[in-house]
Amino acid sequence: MDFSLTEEQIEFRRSAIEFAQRELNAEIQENDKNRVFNRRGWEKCAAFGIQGLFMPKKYGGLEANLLTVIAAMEGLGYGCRDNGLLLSLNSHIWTCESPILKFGSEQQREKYLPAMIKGTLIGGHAITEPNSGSDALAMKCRAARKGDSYVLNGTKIFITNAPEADILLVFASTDPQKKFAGITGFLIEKGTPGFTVGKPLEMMGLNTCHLGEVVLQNCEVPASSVLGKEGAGAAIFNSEMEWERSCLFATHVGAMERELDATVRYANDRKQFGQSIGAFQAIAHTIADMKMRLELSKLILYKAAWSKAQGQRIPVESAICKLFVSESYLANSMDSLHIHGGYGYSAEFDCERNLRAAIGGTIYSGTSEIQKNIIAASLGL
Amino acid sequence: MDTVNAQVVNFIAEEIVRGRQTGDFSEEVNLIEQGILDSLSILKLVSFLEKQFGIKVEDIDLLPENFESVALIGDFVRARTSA
Repeated sequence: MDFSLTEEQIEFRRSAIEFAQRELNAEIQENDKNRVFNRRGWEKCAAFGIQGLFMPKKYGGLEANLLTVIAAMEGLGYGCRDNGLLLSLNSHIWTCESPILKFGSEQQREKYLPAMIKGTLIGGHAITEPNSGSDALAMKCRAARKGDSYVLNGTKIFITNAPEADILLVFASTDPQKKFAGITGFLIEKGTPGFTVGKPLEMMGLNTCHLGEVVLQNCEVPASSVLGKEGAGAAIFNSEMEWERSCLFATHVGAMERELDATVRYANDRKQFGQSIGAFQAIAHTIADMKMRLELSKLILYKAAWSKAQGQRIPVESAICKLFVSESYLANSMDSLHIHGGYGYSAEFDCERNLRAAIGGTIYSGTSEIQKNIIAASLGL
Repeated sequence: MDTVNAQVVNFIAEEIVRGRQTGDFSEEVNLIEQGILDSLSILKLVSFLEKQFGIKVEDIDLLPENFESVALIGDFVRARTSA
């Protein structure tokens, strides 16, 4: 096994860092405070190629291999201090663009992918409902066949990108008796009659990424809006979760590295009791733990990405990856904040914003408990 | 019982049901409606089918029409192995 990055991948990672540091960090504190989505940053990311990293050239993408994508997203996570923008980008890429590429008809790909890669269309997916979060496939949203169309009714909640999205992959049950096997994915465009999106919800963190409620009230869509086939919703959802859990957290790994570098700098610069606080073993050991979590996160991330690049189906490995990286990011963010003391707790520094973002990472894309359920189930428990 | 179907029944009994459910999973019973297969255990079954029968199962193949019963799973495997 060789998960090391090539010179080209390292160079791409470096250029992603420089791009993000130069273009994406303006007014981050104000944007977070005022809950402003960074649309200009989104467009700059598209111009750099982020939304098309993994997409085929025929749709305008860079067609990079998966480890190159991971390297670039890791670099973006290091350079970009706007955690909300990173989540918006990841959600767009892994839960909408990627399923369209994998399961969409050629007509759907040509209709949506070029604009999504260019940054002129924003996407997301809508599965969570008020009464089905972790038990996502127990959804109440229904889609009834009506001639050559489907009529959808239901409510979705906490939908990432919904207030900005031009297109959402909406999951609904076309046959409740079939349970998870009766779920179907629909590509629904903003402006479709009966499809309404609420204002951005006030969340604890990731404020620059807008989450919203989606209401489907007799929302009629043509049968051509079905992604894949009727009844393929669970397969699409499982597939996209596997990709997301294997790849989304590359930006977390980048953010952890940025956080570690900032913490080391602070521990060396900050003097208390006549010496740098990093000279105290309690601080040094805490930072050593941060470094250990970062390195292990990289290892599991690269392994998961490598496995996906080989075409493997990895539900358990991707769950381990998501669980370990998100919990490590949370632990590191907490350690970093503690080491920064009062400054860490202050909104003037990045620490408290990182911590709020890191908590979100243990919830979205399946909570830590759900990842443990997946792992335990694979062991026959 | 067909040998493919028999192997599928054995796998479901030993690796998925594991004695926790006394459901009927004979060839025609609907495994999904009976709660014998869920969205995770179906992936476990797919890994078994790929290894045991040397076939490749794509995500888009994970449809009720292919995995709803032992008989349908057997048909799917036989179609892939003869392709």
